[in-house]
Amino acid sequence: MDFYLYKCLLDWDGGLNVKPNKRIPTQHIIGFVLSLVLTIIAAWTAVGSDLSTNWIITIIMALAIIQAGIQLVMLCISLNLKAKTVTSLGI
Amino acid sequence: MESNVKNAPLEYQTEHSQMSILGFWIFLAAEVVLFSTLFATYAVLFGRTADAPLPSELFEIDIVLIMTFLLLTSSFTCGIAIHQMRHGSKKGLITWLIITLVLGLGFLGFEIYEFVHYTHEGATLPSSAYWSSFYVLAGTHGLHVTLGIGWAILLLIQLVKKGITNVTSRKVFIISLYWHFLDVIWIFIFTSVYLIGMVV
Repeated sequence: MDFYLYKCLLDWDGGLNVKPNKRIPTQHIIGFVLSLVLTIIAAWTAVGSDLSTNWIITIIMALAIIQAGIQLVMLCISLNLKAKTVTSLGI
Repeated sequence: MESNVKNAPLEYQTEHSQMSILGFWIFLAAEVVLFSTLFATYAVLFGRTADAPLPSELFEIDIVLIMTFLLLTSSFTCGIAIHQMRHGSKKGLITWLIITLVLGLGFLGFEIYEFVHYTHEGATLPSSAYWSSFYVLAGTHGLHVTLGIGWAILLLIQLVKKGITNVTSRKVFIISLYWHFLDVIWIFIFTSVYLIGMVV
């Protein structure tokens, strides 16, 4: 996560050199869908699975951290980071 | 750098705007500290429900999921609003901001319903240490959403009157940062308060 944030900040050009495009960025849509899917998985893990409490807590906290990472990527897109950087985030 | 600034989006074209955006990042860092203390307090007081109902008895996954979807979607639509602003579409910006507002209001409506329901079931602010920490944490987030909605309404009025300018675009950009931040905080409230509350 720190590395991704570092890359974001390193490559951020302060929102400069924007080339507006009418289409909604695909990464933005993918990020949104992923965050919904992760929410459903977390909810199912908590209320529908037969795992032990410790495992459930570990899994749902990991999912929350991944979701926060996705939101960070979406924020990077809003800040108009270079496409290369967003791709390098691996989401 | 000079030519870069000329080609930059409106919200970055003056030094004052750039400083305002940087200042807001610093404000968000202070907000992280605030919520960290509230999360820590909640964690310490977790399980100390005294004679009040247990969270697992009151939390309903359906409502919490709806609230989460509303806020996640509002964050997405807020991002589209910024995209429309960058494209110079005043109509698109206003439309997507209104959609964001409606989704935010929906979230708030469910949160108020949820709090009223819990209160009727005997889980009030003074009923136990656990419920105090729950209401303070979730309530602080809800208060931030409320402030964000009020702020966005005022901003919408400015946008209608003045259109997309250096100043209004900076304000829209800053409120989008704020809204994304609230979304991230909610993800952790959803997980560490509601989901874990249902499990433990």
